[in-house]
Amino acid sequence: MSKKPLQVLIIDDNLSDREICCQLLREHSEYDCTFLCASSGKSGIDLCQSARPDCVIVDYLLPDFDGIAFLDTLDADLTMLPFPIIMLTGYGDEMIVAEAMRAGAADYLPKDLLSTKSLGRAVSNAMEKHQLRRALEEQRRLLWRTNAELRRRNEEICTFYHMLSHELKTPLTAAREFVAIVIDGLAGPTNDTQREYLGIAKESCDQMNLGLNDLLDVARLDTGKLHIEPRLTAMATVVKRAVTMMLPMARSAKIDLSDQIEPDLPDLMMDARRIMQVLTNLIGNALKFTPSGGQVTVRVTQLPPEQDGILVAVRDTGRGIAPEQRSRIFERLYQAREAKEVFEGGLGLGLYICREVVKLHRGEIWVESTLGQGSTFFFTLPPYGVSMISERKQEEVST
Amino acid sequence: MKKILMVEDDKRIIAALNVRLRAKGYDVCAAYDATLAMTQAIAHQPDLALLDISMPGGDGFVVAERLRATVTTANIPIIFITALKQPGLKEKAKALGAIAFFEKPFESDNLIAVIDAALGQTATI
Repeated sequence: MSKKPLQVLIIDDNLSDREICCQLLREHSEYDCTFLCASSGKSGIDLCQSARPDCVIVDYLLPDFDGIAFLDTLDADLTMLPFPIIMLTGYGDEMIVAEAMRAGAADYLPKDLLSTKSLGRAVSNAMEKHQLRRALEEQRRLLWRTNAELRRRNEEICTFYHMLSHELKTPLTAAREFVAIVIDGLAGPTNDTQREYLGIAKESCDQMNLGLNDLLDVARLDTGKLHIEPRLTAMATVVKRAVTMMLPMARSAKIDLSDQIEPDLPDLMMDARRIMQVLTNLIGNALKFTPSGGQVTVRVTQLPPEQDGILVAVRDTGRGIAPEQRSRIFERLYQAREAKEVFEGGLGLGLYICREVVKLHRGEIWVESTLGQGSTFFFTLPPYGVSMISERKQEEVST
Repeated sequence: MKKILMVEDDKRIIAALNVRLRAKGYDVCAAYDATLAMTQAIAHQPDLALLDISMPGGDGFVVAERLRATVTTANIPIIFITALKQPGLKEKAKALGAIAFFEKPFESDNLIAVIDAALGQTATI
């Protein structure tokens, strides 16, 4: 097998040491070496830049530089060094060696151990290490570029969702408003049947609006732009409001919706609007999967002192969730993946948004269920969780 | 009769608001973009302005700033109605002295209630 050409730069102020190195490397088994020589750090650096050698062997003690200063001067960014550097040490000083390796040397060799074998192996190792490092660097750059591209596309999708939402909401508003105008009798008298049908049309508009809002939330979650605005809030108020809001839906489905709120709950730091969204989502799901005559209960209790915080449980008497689905229902686009088997309506984004909103509050969300008997969705809210997040964010900013 | 200026680039929404507001006894005038909005505001001297935010040729915030900067329209109560859903819009509207901020689709009963309260009247037909 023919040897690979290798241009080696040897930097040493001692002429005989330089010649020994050349001599030893001429017998290298793998490389056909040619040599460039420099007798000072300065001329060595000039040659590194002008001649672009494949490998550099440098004496740690030069008249103008020591090995570390040489490495520092050569390139501030060591990962970008175009060639490996082998440091020759005179004293076998471990401190020097460690520092040189940290500063970017590929290998080191005490001068008194120089031999065809040792120097040859040092060069081979250094070249191999260097090539691996280059390959790794190339992969890293590729990964970084791909990542940046994905982020850019995600941003694009997010912007597109916003435009889409705006473009759909405007006609949706007009449609909903004209339906409401007719229902309210502003376009002449209507009969009960007409009003009932128009009521369905208006509700459909509202459902479409909720779907669009979910889409926007998911786009925000994907780009890390969904932020919560926590304020000290009474959980009881939020739960009561959510239950009141869902009562009409419960009534029309003939389901008994009620709340059980422990008295004297502590106020929590939360984004009330977002927690409302979680509650209405969970209650809405419970109502959707519970047959008429069933029950949906929202229970709020204080967690034991060692855990602290509040536990919310939304319990239904619906058909329950199969064990293999329980962990997956919180996943993004769960519905899209499962749609081929059973389509339940909705985009399947609701529980994913719930999970992310609870996570942003540093709480937990999970489901317990018995097939045929019903499901209970639980979530916890820690008392100071959110303020801890904002403190951590501030720390990150200040460092 | 109190007069309301509607600034909105979607003619269907103008038409719907027109029905609602006239039914409540308000006089209305409309502008489909920011430039026309100022012309209408100066010509009609409305008692209240309903501003869409996203419009061609200058958004509702620009219209609000111009209304505020013009002596004869500086004190007109402003309500923003928008199909945009972005953080910070409501705060910006508040900073411009808006009396209310509605997202589309809006509940017209709530909108009318805010208008009635602002104009200090139970509108008469």
